Amino acid sequence: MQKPNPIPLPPSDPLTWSLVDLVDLEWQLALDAEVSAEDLWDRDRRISREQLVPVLGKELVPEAGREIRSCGLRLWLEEVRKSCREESVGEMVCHGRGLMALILGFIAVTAGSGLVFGLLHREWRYFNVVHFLLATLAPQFLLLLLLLLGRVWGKIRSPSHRSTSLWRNLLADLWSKLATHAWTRRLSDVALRARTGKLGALVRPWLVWPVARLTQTAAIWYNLGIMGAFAGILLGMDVRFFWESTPGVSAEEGLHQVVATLATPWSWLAPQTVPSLSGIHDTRIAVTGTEGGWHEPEGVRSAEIWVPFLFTTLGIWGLLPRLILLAFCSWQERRMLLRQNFGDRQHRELWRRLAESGRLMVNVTGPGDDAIVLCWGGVEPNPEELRPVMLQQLRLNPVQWFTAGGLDVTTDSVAIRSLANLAGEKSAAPLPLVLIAESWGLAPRDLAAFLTSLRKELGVSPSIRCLLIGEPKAGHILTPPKAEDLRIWEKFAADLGDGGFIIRPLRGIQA
Amino acid sequence: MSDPGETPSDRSPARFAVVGRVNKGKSSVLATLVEEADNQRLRIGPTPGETTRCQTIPLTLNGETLVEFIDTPGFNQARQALAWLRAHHREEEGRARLEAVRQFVATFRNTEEFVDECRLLQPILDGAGIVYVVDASKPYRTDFVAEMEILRWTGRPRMAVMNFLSGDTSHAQEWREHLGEFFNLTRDFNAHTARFRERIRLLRHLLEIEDRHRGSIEKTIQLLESGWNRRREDAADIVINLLQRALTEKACKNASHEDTRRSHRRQQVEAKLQEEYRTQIRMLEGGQHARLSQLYRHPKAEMTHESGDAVLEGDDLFAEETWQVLGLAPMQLAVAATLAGGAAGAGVDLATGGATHGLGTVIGAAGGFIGALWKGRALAEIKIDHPLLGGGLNPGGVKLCAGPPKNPNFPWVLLDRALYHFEHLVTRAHGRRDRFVIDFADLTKAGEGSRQGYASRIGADERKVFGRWFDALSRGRAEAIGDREVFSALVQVLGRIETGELRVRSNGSLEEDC
Ligand SMILES: Nc1nc2c(ncn2[C@@H]2O[C@H](COP(=O)(O)OP(=O)(O)OP(=O)(O)O)[C@@H](O)[C@H]2O)c(=O)[nH]1
Ligand SMILES: [Mg+2]
Repeated sequence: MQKPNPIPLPPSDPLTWSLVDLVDLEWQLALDAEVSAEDLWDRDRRISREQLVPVLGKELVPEAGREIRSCGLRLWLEEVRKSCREESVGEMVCHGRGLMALILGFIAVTAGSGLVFGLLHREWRYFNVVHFLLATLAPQFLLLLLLLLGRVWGKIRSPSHRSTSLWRNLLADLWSKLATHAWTRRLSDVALRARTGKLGALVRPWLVWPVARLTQTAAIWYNLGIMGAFAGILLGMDVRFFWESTPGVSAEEGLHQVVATLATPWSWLAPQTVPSLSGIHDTRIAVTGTEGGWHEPEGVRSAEIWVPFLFTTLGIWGLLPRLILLAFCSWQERRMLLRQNFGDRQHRELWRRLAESGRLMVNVTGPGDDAIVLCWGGVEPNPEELRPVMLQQLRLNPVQWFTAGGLDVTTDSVAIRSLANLAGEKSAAPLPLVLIAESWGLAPRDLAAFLTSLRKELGVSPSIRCLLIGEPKAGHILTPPKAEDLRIWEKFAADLGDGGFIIRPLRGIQA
Repeated sequence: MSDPGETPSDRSPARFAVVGRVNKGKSSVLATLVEEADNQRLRIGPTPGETTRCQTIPLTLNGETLVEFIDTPGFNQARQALAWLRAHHREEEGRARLEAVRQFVATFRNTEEFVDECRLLQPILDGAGIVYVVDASKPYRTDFVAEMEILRWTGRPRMAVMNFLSGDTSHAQEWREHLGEFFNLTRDFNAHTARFRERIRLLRHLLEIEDRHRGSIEKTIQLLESGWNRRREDAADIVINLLQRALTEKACKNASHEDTRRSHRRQQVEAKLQEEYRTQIRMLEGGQHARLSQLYRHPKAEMTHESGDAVLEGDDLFAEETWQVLGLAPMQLAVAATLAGGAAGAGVDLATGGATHGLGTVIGAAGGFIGALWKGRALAEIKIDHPLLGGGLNPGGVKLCAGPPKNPNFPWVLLDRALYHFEHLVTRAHGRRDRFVIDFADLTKAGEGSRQGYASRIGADERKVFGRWFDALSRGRAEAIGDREVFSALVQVLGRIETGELRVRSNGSLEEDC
């Protein structure tokens, strides 16, 4: 990032993205998908306030550009990371990659050197030059060509088919297998396992270049293995070089042509490394002539003719392309990290949370006029009818219904217990009680006993409003009580001596 | 929050008491204004006196209250109250009248009389501005003068809001004239139809009557607007999430070799898998639609598909009739596929360095066109994926997957349904307390064969953007093109639905049903 940075950044924090960071970001976003929106909002508002605002200030807006977003998300990630102690998933991925590189490197070196040892004729200690060149270089180039063809084929194939490319499938398979093997031991529950799969899909596009880099590194080790083993053999023993052709066929010219072509990149610089036509001629044998070994003609040192050429060829055609490819992959990887513009869905959602200057909260807590209805003595008014009456006359809203004072005395204690439980559940003040009773049916002792045990359970605090109704008329239960009945109840209340027990006769037109 | 022009006196929240005759929609106006659809928290009902005491509703930012609305019980005995006021005080100007009201409340506060009047006047005496709600769909009567007069006596800044319970606006002029005598401002606000823009407008009117709290009211409006925009973007991302997952997720299952070899058993397994897939997608759609409802504070919105007499047995999304009226017409699909195919073909041309001389584009486009015409007629049939390398590697059997339907109309149908849901959410006032049912059958009922949805009517450019993204998704190449373009297109479309510019052609289920 050479561009002049508009943001004053803390010098210790480079604010660049590495693969570890990117994977961590995606992993965190995948985790966030399972957290409630409110919690996310709280966390991100806090991080925004404490971490982002001091650095980004006025730049922290929903429509901020790529660089601001990148910077903000990086700060966010840094803060979120603080809360997890274990090795992050991104680090796991990168360590996994390191381990992979080590294993692959080892395999590659072994394969390369093994190949060279295999090419050396043990008994007679010589190399067939043509075989040597073919075996060391051709497979590498063939593989490269195949990969390239595969890519082109995938591109051509996909417009008419809906399936994804072969490489992608293979890579995805490999990835998910690796991920499950590496992580499921630590990630015990199923949801997490499912998530690793999701993450695999998310980070797959980013792994293309790192994986390519990995293969190129392995290839470099392979070539180094070849060159190392070759050098070791040359140092340790006296080996000879030849090539062969069927008798009668004069192939010197052809081989010379090939040699000259291979040497074009450097022959102008070091012509002595290129075997001359006569040198090639001197090291040729006819197939039939190999019985009992091959001996250099008088005055010919085959190693002097071939070794400089073979070594340079390995370096220029084996190692160098790999180094170039590796550099290309690294460059692409870096470019990918730099170009990441954090504009995908999850990034957008996160950024909106971070950049919104604040959310207006509307806090509606409820009217607080709830009441519990207790129907006494077998009256059962229709809730639909009673509710408006209670709303208008008592200014209370019935939310729960109980009955007591019926034929079965046990219902009384059941009601009392339920009411006590209800009062116990509510940590706030107990809901007011509304006792509905018919004014003409008062049995003072019965009701007084009930109220006493009710008070014993509930304490003195909830007020008990006694809504008195009269005789049912023309199918209406809710009629006003008669004046004389009311007087009896008022006397009853006075005798009861309970200040929280209030008589409320139903109002209405007295017939 | 250091807006210019803000003075220290602004720091206390702006308070407004919503007052009026019982049962004229005070609570409804407020519920719509603050988006409270939960009847437990803000009760609304046909019973006069549903609101029994004052209920304070604070609008807070980071714990600081900016604006406070107070729902109040309605006037019940305004005439008697005014009579008392008049009897106890001579007509004087200014403070004396306010003192009279104060004395009225002090006199009756703890008595059985004028309970509601005392409760509703208290916040006004404490300094709240007045929002007076009337039902202007009924004729004006002189008895309203009593309550208006009491409110005038308080001397507080006041605005009248004409709500229309029955939708009849013929008395509006008459009301406006009379209200004008008592109130600084008179405005319409239909609690059952008001949308976001109207809510904001009402809040702006509050600015006109209460200048002292300009800072906090403006801040509130600004926050509401930015929140609304953010919500639209959140909604777009929910829809994108839905489409993305629907086009990429599959239902998979291990089948034994035995199952796959015998054709009838194979058919059974495949049918079961397809059913599983459908269930999975229905759940996915339901979940994302529920998130939309939550986002717009309509958590109780119900999604159904009840086509009148015959209820489609849960099979709504995948019903044939749905696919015939939603999404794109075959020709539109073909064009969309042509554009997408051409784009993919152009990719080949690029890859070959132009060696194919644009042939890729032409072939890709033609392939897309023909393919879409052909598959566009197929129904919601589902593609079964068979494993790439056969089952040979896995001794336990083969993995079969039921993937997204072959029919390219699938994402368009999903899109249409999500947009339909969205339209309901943004047009539904929170003050309504009837069941909120979003019936997808309404979409399919109207037109015989003609496309009813939004997708068929959005602009060609937008369609192209969507088409290309759908295509990329179904090829597993969506990462390459990203979803930014489709996001901004979708935000655009949602914005047009909000303004009503783009609306469904159904038989008017969105209209206010009085
Ligand atoms: N159709 C229609 N009905 C409305 C409208 N506003 C309110 N209502 C209905 O009118 C009735 C009363 O509404 P509320 O909001 O409870 O009225 P309120 O003034 O708060 O009533 P109280 O609290 O009893 O004083 C309810 O049944 C509402 O559904 C409206 O704009 N249109
Ligand atoms: Mg109310």
